[in-house]
Amino acid sequence: MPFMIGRAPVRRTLKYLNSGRIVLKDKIKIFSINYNVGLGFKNKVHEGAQAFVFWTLPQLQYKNPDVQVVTFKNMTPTPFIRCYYENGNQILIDIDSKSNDEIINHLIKVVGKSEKTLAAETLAAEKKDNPANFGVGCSRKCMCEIPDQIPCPGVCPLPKHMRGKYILYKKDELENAEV
Amino acid sequence: MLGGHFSKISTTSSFNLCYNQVCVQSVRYARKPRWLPTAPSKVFRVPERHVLPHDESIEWQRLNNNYRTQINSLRRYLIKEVEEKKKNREMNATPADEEAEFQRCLAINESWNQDIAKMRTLRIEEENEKRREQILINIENKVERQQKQKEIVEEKIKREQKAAESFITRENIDQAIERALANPISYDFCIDLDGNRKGDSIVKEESKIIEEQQQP
Repeated sequence: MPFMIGRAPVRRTLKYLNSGRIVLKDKIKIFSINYNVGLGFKNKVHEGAQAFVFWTLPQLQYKNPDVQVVTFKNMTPTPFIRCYYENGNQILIDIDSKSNDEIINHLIKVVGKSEKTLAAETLAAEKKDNPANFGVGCSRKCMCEIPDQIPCPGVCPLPKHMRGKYILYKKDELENAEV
Repeated sequence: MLGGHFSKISTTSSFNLCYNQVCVQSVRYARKPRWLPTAPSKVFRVPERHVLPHDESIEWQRLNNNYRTQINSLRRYLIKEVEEKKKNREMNATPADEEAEFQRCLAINESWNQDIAKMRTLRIEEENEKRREQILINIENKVERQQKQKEIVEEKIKREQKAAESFITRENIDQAIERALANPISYDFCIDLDGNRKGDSIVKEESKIIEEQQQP
């Protein structure tokens, strides 16, 4: 397999990236994380943050392509995450001596979309994505836009064998009606 | 049923100005109506083409580019805003709801941060305590080391002072010279692997040989 080089190349596989659990809220525009690397014994409190950056950040970026993700290395005594909202609000999450899993779970709770919202969004996306659907909000307004389908009756009359006028009335009744 | 029908018509007419007879104004043509062809006297008239000066055309281009960019961005912004509102309406989320949700998340995060802060204070205190102990031990060690060093130095000084008694100074230099002349010492002799001295000085040996050669 090409490009399977470097540390933990599994991080670059589509399956891994897709299995990320953090989907940030729409209002969040920037996700920044401060942590330290390579300072020896003082690094114990940063281990979780390092693991998060190494293992989870690729998934987060993949799942949130519209969010700017920034990492600041060796600029802080204790690791923390800061999220910037669209309206200028900020949320500061302390991740001092927390493990990767704890961080992920907390992020999902605080800045992630709820499961309910996610389910609703997947449903909506499915509706939009499915080419078999038609109507308002879909890729085509009407079934008749597909070649080989019957045109809308407003544009071109239906064949006679489909019209009530011809199949519900008897022949003589029809003649009388037309007269 | 009928009432609903009427009300529908009335709302349409009040909102759509095209259907309102008061607003309809017929176009009156002062000269040639739209549907008549070009006047025979104007058929072969070629309108003069306006040529803009170079600077001016550049300026127009710039202004137009700016205008298009700004209008496009404004348009996109408005489209985005409308879409978002629509989405919010679908999800039944009002700004107040969103604010409440944000505050809820903030509260959860606040408690999490406080827990971590508590743990950190404890940890830092512990670390400081350890550090204090370590520093005390280091200081003790240092004092001990300095004491030892001092003893070593003092001993050295004592030794040197003792040795200084036998130093050659201006006063006793003559005596020293005399003594040196009286007792010549030569260090050029052979030693074996264990450092034992073997025989006499080489110079002495050589001088002996030379003397023997000169005598006959």
